[in-house]
Amino acid sequence: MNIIKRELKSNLKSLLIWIIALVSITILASWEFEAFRGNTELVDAMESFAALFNALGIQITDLSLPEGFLSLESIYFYIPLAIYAALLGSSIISKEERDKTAEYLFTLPVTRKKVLVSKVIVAVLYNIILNLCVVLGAIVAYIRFSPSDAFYKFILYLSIGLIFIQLVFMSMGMLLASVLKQYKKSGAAILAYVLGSYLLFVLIGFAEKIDFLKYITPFKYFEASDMLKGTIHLEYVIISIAIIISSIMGLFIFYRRRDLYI
Amino acid sequence: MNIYKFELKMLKSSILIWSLAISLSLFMYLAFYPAIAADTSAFDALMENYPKELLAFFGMKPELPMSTLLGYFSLTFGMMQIPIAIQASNYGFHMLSVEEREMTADFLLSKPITRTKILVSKFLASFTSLTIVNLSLWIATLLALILFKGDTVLELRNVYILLSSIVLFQLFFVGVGMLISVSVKKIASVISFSMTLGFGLYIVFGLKSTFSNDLLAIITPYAYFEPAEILISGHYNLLYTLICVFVIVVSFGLTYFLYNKRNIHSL
Amino acid sequence: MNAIEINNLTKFYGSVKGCENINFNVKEGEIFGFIGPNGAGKSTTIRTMLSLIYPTSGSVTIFGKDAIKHGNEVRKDIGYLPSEIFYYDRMKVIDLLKYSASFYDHDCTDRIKELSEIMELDLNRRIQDLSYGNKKKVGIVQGLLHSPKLIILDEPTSGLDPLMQQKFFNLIVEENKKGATVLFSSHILSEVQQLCNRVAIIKDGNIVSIQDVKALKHDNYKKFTIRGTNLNHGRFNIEGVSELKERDDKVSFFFKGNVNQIVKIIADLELTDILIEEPTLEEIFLHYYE
Repeated sequence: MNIIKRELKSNLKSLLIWIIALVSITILASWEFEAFRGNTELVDAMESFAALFNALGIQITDLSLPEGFLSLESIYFYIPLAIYAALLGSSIISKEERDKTAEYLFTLPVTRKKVLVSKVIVAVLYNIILNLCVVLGAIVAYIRFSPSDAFYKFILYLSIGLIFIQLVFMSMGMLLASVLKQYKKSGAAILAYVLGSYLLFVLIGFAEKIDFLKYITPFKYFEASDMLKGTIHLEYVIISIAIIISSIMGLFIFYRRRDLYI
Repeated sequence: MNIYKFELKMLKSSILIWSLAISLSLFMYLAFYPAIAADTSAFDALMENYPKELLAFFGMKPELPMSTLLGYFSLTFGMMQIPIAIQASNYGFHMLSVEEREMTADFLLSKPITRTKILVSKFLASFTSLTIVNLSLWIATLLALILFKGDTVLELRNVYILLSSIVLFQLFFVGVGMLISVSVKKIASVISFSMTLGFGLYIVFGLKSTFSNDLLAIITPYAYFEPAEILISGHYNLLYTLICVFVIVVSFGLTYFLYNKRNIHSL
Repeated sequence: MNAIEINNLTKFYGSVKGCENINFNVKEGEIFGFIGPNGAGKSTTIRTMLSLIYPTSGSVTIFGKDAIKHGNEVRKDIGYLPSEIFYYDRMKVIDLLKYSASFYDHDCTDRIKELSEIMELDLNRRIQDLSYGNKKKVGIVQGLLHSPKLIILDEPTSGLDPLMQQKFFNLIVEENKKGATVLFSSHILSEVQQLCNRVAIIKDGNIVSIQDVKALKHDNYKKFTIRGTNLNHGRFNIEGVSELKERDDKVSFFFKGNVNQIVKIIADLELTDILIEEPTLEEIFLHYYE
């Protein structure tokens, strides 16, 4: 479809920049792994630090293994991917008003629904692509250490967890862009939520007292320590899917009825 | 100055949101210190066994373990540096590009004022906001440290020095943001730029720590004003501070020059 | 004194020509028209006068001062009405007008009131809620509230209804009577014809001609439209005739010269209708647009 093609093209440059940046960081970080590899003294020392690492969402079972180390570095995946998803979601919806192309696009013989469907498809697709490229980058970066199956399992789970988190933030960004009268604020709003979620996530790690707040921070749903263990909590999957579906439904409902100003 | 007052008014809600958000977050984090201190008293001995690289990754120094008040504070302050950077970057990228993006340039720039006056007025308004945030951080920090210190004997001298670093830290991001905004043709989305600058330099800092590569430290203010370093040593790193001031001066100077020369095109 | 002096003004955007070797003067107290097709360089020229963009070479002097070097001083006396109006988000009309007034040394409150009443502008509405035409009105009041000595209008009446257009023109004429100089850029030749003393025509970045509007129309050309039968005999193809269009039943042309020659030719014909008019500026200049 022509709209899908257009959206693919206009968001491509940004996607490529993100892919290059994140893959580069992953590969660079993997060089440091040399110091940790096979270093058993480290491992022993690490175990006693378990509490602290729990706080940062990392299960330091074994930093001398690729998967352990990568889980340490995983925060460099979670946050950027969340930011990318949030920004893409909110901007792909609000850009028609921001660039003043709304008057053109929505007076063509096409329903708003069709336009939105195209945008959602492209946004989801690009999030998946970024996710896969980053994961691939990680594999390429660590393959020279001949990692065990546990590593690949971790990568798989990490990828799944990340895509859920991405889609949650993306769909919320889209919803905000369709609901807020001042569409320009939707980017800032969703990013504030991303940032706030991360800060909350770290705080929850320190203080079990506020553990109940974990439901409002998507970073807790699929955190690295769980991914390392290969645990995916069903409740979080359900919550994520619920958020994604209701946000997208909200997007369609609100945007159809939205007054588009010049 | 009418432009200053006008711009400041436009920043009203931004000032409120950022100052409350950052200072409350800091306060909240520190409020949990007593819980941490109780749970992790075993930390101290263990810290000694750690390779420096690993600790560096978390911005921790063995001299300042996380179980101490100041050690914990250094960690949380380090995290607060991220939103501080993002806010300052936001202002930097936004202040000059907004007139062209919203097409109000024809109005403002055809008034009997120099480009310099516009630049200075807008900067002062942003700086006022940043200073208010700065002050709220001072208040939140001191209040929290006093309230939650528990048994620790509080030595605030180094804390003051760390807090004083906020202003240079902010100016770095404002300056670089402004310079980039007058160097490119158009900025469609300020927030993408500011997130990239604010967060990107944090990642560089993270890499620098992981690598123990001091070369990377030259470009990232998170390294210039690393909380743990300052809290331990009680002073700034002279080289880094000079670099920071240099970047600030150069970016402001170039911004002044480029903004005066800039062609403002019509639609 | 010349209100505006433009000397060899040239502006290139990279390799694309904006304007080249523009030379003209606008006398103080004149209403000077500036016309030309789209993309001819009108906006480029005007934007350099306001130092929104900078010339590649050449200079602009306004009331004796260099408009680029002393832009901020020069602009004290300029009122600019751009063609597209955009203002700050969520601002009310009155707030924008007050902010605008704060840039000038004198108190403009009375003038704001006067102008808004004439243009029927509601001061308490948010600008972003206004229609295009009403936004235009804000632009008009904003440009005139400080009683500027030089008024630069860039397609000012697009979007205004005919009644408002007339009110606007009356405003401009009033200001001009009080001594203001007006530079008026437009496509609408009838407006230019109505208001301007002199006109410069710009095309493809170069000034094509500078002419006196009144002198042009006065006894210069007459437009003839003749209807009848068997008219097509090429007999009207004489010296002084231009834009000749001949059909068997209708002939039209412009003529400058001794009217008796035409009368003699017509005398021999069987006419059903004859129309002799003064041509509009449009008709005179249209060939410049091609």
